[in-house]
Amino acid sequence: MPLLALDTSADICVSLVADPRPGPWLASTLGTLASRRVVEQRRHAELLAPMIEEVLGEAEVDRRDLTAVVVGTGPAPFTGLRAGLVTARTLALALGVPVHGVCSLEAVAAQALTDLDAAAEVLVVTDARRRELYAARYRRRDPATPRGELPEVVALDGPLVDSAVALQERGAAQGATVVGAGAALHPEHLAGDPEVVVDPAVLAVLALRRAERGESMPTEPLYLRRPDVTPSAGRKRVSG
Amino acid sequence: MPDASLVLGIETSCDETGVALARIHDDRTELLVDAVASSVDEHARFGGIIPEIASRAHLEAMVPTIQRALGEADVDLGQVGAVAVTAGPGLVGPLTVGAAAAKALAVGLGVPLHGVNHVIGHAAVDEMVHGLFPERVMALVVSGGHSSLLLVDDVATDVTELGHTLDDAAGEAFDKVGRLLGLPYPGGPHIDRLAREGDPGAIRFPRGLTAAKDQARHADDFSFSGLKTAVARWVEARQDAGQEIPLHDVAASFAAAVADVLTAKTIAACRRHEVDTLVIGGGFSANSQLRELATRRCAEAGITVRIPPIRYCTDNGAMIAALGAAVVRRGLPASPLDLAVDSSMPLTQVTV
Amino acid sequence: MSAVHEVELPDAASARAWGRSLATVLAAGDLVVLTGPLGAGKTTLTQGIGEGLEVRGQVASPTFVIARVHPSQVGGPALVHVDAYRLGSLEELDALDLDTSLEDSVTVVEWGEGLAEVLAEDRLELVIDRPHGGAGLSEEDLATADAGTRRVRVRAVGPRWADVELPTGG
Repeated sequence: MPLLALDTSADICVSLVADPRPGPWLASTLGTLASRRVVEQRRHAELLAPMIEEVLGEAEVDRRDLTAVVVGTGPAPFTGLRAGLVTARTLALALGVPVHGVCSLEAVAAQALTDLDAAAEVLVVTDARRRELYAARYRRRDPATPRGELPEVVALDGPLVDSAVALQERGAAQGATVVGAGAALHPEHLAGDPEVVVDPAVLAVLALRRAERGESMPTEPLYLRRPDVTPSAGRKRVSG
Repeated sequence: MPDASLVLGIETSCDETGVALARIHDDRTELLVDAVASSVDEHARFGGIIPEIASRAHLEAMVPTIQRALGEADVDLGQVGAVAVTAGPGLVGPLTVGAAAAKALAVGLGVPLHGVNHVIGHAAVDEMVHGLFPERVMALVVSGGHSSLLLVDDVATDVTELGHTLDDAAGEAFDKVGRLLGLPYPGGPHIDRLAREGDPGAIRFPRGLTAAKDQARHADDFSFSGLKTAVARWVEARQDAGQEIPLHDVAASFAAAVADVLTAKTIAACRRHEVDTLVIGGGFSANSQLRELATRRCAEAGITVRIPPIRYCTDNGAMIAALGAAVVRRGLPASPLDLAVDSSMPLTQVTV
Repeated sequence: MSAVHEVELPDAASARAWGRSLATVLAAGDLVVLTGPLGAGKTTLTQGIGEGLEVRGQVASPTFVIARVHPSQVGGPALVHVDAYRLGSLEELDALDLDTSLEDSVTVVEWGEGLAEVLAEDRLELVIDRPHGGAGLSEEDLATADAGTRRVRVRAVGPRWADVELPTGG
């Protein structure tokens, strides 16, 4: 019973994941059947559909056997995020299966917390462009979740968008491990491990667990910014 | 089971999310449903289209609009045999949402994807209104963003762009003159309304690219920039002299100049290329002076003029379903799944 | 740091030619801000720049779509042509949802005065004047209303332009 999980909040990534229920949710048993990742800031809408076809082909899974589509809801710059969300929504519509949205930063946090102490906290930072970062701070929801098992996470701060300096000044990272691709961008203010990125399989596991608990998982985009083109306030002089 | 004769069309090049279903018959293309969601109210606040706002609205409207179209036509998504989508020209962000949705549908349903040209769709939609095109038609596509003259030998495979605007599109010129006259955006409908009560012969504004010297290079091209400047300077001169601006006469004279150039050049092109059928499409074909003048002059010239009802002239999914149906009817190959949207897609390119 | 440079362009052909010459000094990442009243010739000048950059497509007014991207036909930078008339702020081109970046393109912004400056510290600010009013009711006057000399004041802002020689009149 495979699921398709995808994320376009940073890299473009697609995984076909075997439904690992019943748990335990060990990171080593996520059961990724096939995956593709492209490191691209643009062209999400071009690359995503072929990547989906590729993972289905590689794992020899018929699209009609998919049981759900899971998608990262950001936060992310607008165009690429939308390509992922509209793809997930319409694909699920075409297949007649549910679509689940999971905040992309939560997947990074869950992955990072898997190998940390029970009380550890992480600050996840990703590139928001315009010299800013998306950021959110998390800890394990249940401290008893054993190390090595993918934990459910709870947000302590964020997700929000701000500059690295501002995050540093308000002590956003104090006492937390900093992870995520944003950690490489402004190391003078926020240093950490930039290698931890969204794994669609983690999105899938979080979604399955939340579905079991009966949580609703809307696929609303986390833009975190208003459409920044504001209208002209007054009439401009058009005549010479 | 997919039915090869059933084509779903998706249009998102600007601010309307359009989804339509067309059925291919031997002798006609039938429009089953045309569902449109518009973010135009949001834009009215901002005085025009803002790409990011349009893109956000497309994402939210996409699945509900597909579902509405299917429901109204009583069609199951699994029956759809092909998906057509606007690949360009248009706004990149909005186009991207539609293309991604169409690709996902094609993958999810296991049916072919056809990326098609929005502007040619404005002509093709008339195949569902007035019947399949004869062997050769002339198409005048006029809207806020386009003013193009197309020689259509085959709507799916052989379109020649004879001419286009060198500066402002017709609708754009209306909006800019609207600015000059202090009218709200978009200026087109306001000028149209004022013009009905004015004297179109009051001021003889220039007709762009109609002089003998322009005939060699620009016989089929349009230019509305000089006209716009003439209106600006005429208004300035009046203002400088402390005189009132006769809004109705300025609007009527300006609109007359635009309609005159569009129809005169189009009919001349029909004669030169020996075409006896003219299709007019695009949002600006709602303009009343253009409709009247085109109808009258075509009748005089013995040309059959086909203008779809206004709801099919503005952006909608029907135009894309119609062009998609024309592509499927001819058995053309599907577009690749990695097709890129193209904001300045050439008008000679019907499919991707 | 800024230097001012003035050119006179007697007609549309010379405006286009000057745009072509200007294109020879433009590179990816450059920003040009055009200011002038309706009919000043902002789009005409941009057409020249487009020709010089050898980009695809007819460079026409982007008013309706706000921004249009013209890809290069020769492997050079794309031309991003923006009409900011209806916009009140323009923090980054990201907000226009263009799926392209300032760094990879030559960006020309019409009606951008007071808005586009935040896009880049280095930029060329062009102010174009056209003859004002004067056209009476005579048909002849109106027919030639679009003719007449355009004066372009170029302000080169930022170190990018410090040693760049800008083209003289068309």
